[in-house]
Amino acid sequence: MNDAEVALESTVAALADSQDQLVFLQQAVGRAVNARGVEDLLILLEDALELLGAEGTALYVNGFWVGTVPAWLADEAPPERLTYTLAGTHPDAPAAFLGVPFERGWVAFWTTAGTFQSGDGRLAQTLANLISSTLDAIWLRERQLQQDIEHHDQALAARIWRYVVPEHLSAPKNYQLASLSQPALQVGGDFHVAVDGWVVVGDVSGKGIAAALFTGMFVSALRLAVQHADMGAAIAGVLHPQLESAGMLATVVAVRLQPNGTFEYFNMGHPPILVRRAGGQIESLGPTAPPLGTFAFDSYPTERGQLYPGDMMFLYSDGLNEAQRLSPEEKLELFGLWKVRHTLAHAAETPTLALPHLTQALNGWDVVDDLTMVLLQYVPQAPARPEGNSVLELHLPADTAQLAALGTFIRDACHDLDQPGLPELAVTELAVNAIVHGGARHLLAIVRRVPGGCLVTLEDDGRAFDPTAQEEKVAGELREGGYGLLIVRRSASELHYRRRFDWNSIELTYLRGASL
Amino acid sequence: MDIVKRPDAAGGVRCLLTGRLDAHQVPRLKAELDPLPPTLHLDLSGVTFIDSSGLAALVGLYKKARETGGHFTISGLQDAVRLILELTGLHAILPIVPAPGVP
Repeated sequence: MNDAEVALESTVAALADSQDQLVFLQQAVGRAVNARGVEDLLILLEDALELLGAEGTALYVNGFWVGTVPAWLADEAPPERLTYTLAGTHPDAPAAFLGVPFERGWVAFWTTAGTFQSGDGRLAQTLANLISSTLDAIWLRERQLQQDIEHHDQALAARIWRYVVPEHLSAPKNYQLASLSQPALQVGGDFHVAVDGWVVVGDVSGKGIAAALFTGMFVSALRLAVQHADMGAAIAGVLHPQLESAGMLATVVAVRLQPNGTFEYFNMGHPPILVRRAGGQIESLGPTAPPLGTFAFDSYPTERGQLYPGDMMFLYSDGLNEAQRLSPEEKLELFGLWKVRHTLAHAAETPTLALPHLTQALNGWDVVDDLTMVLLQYVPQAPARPEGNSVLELHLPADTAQLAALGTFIRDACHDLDQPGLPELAVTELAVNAIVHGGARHLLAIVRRVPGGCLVTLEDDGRAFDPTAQEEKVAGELREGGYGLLIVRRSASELHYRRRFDWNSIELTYLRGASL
Repeated sequence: MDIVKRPDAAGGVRCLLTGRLDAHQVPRLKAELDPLPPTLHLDLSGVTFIDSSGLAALVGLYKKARETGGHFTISGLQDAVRLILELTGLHAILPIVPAPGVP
């Protein structure tokens, strides 16, 4: 062939090559659209080997080679631009090499015989660009799928949580209650429940479906556990092994409140119960056991206490004390237990009014966890008119502010006496004496119906005082004091005293038909 | 306990008490009536309960009025007040006057 024929044959061959490349690239685009992962893209490169006259190809993405690569290529640094030479030297390096970078990696082609031409470089560059775009699309698709899954999980967790956690709690007898249960953006494991006189607040660690399912288990277990003498052990027996094997924790505080103000509680690693006394002081009842999922005890004995009229108890989750904000010095600051106590101390009188105070205190703070708050105030009602041989009791702090409540209790309990004002007056005198002169801190008034009248007892934990052994001052004398004992003795048919376990116990008998 | 003071036609002070007059309320009453008006009348028609602390306050006001040459009276005694005055024998000693309009 002459030179022109050689040139023509070469041009035709080049055009044919170009045509083959175009067809390959069209097919490559279609395959890239349907690629599920990097392995599909490597296969695409391998299919381009014949077209490029190469013997091998490799794909490097996000710091890793896809599949195995020859030793001479393994440590080769990604080129900064299209290159036909290796950066390093290796005895087994191929005769010809082509490396093309893209945003997240690079592709390599090689052959042990022959060379790569500029047209091969352009094809390789096109393939690299196609691979880069396809990887972006794959990752976008995966991210969208992950978000869809997460969104579905969140919605499912929220449905589970709303199903198992009651929205409202019913107050135990003689208590007023206000509560708030506010899940975080992602449903977690906070819950509150009231069952059989127990009020329970709990917090299962974690978020999403796992936390919501454990919350469901907790609430279900509680409804059965209240039947057991050791409620804490009953709950731990069911939930501790499950939590431990799942690597999760749960804190819980449970209080059983009686109509007479006495209570018992256990606290498994939960923030302390706070009690705001009617006089304003705050008491803290801390944990009695570790969180569930850490160590399990054989038994969970309860601690006991006493609420007096007007006292308010506060149960809450750590979403409150762990609310956070940035200080003026740009440091992360937590709301903290001190601020919880301070806010409670200055909150309004009743649970219904105090709850908004507590939530408003969080203005300016980020509540990053579920938030649960339960306020319970002991507000004993006037006792029902006693029938038969019933016994009525009233526990009070030894404070003159309680005299009205004490007087109302006695008057109502002795309503069927001819003069219910008499026991009311006598008990008030004894109470004031115990408070002012005896240093008492607690009072207990008891009314028992007896045939023909009432036995009224006032007990106090002050200094010993026996009214039967004191000298009584005369009546009809204009003096500013010293009438109390006279009143007590003259009002009752009988008066008895005993000292019982460091308490004064004074018993007065009032009979129907008796006169002064 | 509510304490309402108003001047009366004779230039004195008429004080209406309502509620309980017990050890918890007595400090308030004493503060309201310090200094003691030269002429003071306590209307106790609204007092539902009085204990010996309240009684002592009444006795104290009466004694101070006598010492300073003032005039002190009480009226409107309900059952609770009558009860304690009878128990202590002070019903014949304290200056009880008829309530206005009561013969």
